[in-house]
Amino acid sequence: MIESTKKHFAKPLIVLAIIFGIRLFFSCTPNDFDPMEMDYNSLSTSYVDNSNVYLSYFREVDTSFSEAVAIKLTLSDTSQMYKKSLSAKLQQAVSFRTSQADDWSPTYIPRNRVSELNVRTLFPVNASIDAGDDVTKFFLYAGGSFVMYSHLDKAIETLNRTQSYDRLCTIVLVLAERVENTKAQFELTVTFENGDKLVSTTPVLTIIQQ
Amino acid sequence: MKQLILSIILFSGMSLMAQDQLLRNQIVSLSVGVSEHSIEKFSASDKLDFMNYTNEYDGNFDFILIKLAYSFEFSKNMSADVELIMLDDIIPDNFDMKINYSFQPWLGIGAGTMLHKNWISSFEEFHKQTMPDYHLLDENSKYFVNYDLGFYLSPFVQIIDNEFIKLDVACDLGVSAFMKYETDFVLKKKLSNEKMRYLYNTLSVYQPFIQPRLYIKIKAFELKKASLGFLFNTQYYYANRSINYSRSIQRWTAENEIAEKIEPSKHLFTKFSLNLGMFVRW
Repeated sequence: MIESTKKHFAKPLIVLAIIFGIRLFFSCTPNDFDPMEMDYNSLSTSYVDNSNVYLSYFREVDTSFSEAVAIKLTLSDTSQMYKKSLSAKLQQAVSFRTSQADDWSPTYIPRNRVSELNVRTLFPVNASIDAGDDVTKFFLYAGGSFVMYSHLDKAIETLNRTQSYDRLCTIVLVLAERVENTKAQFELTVTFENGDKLVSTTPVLTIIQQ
Repeated sequence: MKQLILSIILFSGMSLMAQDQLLRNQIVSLSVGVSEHSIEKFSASDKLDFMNYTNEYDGNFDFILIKLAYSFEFSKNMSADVELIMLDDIIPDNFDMKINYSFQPWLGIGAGTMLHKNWISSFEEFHKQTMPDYHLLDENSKYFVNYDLGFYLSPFVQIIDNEFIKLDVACDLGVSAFMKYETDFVLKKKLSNEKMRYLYNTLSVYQPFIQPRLYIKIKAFELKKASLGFLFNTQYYYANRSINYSRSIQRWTAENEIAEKIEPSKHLFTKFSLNLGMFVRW
């Protein structure tokens, strides 16, 4: 009776022990903290609300006050199956999460660095800015609520630095001009150091005159 | 370790014994009192005036004072006074120190330094009131401790100096300056992208003051070589003061900046204080 019980449980116990051993082994494997390389291959744009005290990064709008036009620009790498991220995910899958010695979050560094950011208006903005004009110089980078705006070279610096948690970077550009039209629309062009370009056209924005 | 501690104690004891021989007429006193501040306030202009936001309170007295003082004579004609002053917050960060020289037993002059603090608070109200079209990004009430460092000469006369009562009258004539402070405000125009930043750097500018003082000491008991008594001190500070500063206004970006030096009007600033306490002289 005892012998048959031993035989019955021996195999599952050995299998469980092997699984436990594998998970324990990978739990003790140190993470690679170097940022993963990525390639920006997608550009998307939308409008966000900047009419209140603080910029609402997550509140996308289709209507804006004439002096509060703000564009959210997202550059991302939509490709999947990175060897390094896959191996990291695999390691997480076969290890005890709670027994990992450190809390590791992946970081990403763009391989194709942004060299230029250009904005063109598709509608006349005011008497001195016509449809089709380059309005890059009228846009500023909103880096944070409690700091002043910066010129676009700071925005490019932000796009080129190591990104945390995800393979994308989102920035907000604000227009430092009053829009005297009832509608606004812009075309944004991101030029990379290797000469590649990504272009995105914003939706048409309805302007409320103050 | 024990030897080190013993050495320190012995050394300290020896130095105290040596001081006993050098220092005469030593007095330690503890007194409590009150202080009433009065600051002339002006109506708001287009420039921030920090003096308008210097704390003073309605009622008879603004602050409670606790003074711990030590004075001693270290030569025939010279003496020194050291006074540590605490306000309601019980932080001993105010002082008054001077060295006195007596030409005659009843006449002399002192030279001293003092550090007194004031509180300047809620000055963000200036921007709220003068720029109603703008949001203040940090709406928290701002305040800072404004230390006033002064240097003075103080001629004094001993009106009464007998075994029981000693009455001195002095008048400080000096200059004092508020110490530097830096603050900023970020503002955003309502329904607009426009941002502005106001940076203030207060300047340390010495301005004259006058401060008559009255000291009364009454001996009450005598115990061997020491005597114990009561003291009453009062003083009245009078000055015309301003807090000058440099102001930078940034518009949209930090690079787009206009800087200028601001000298607000001078405010009449008076402080009346009196304190009562006990002293021990040996």
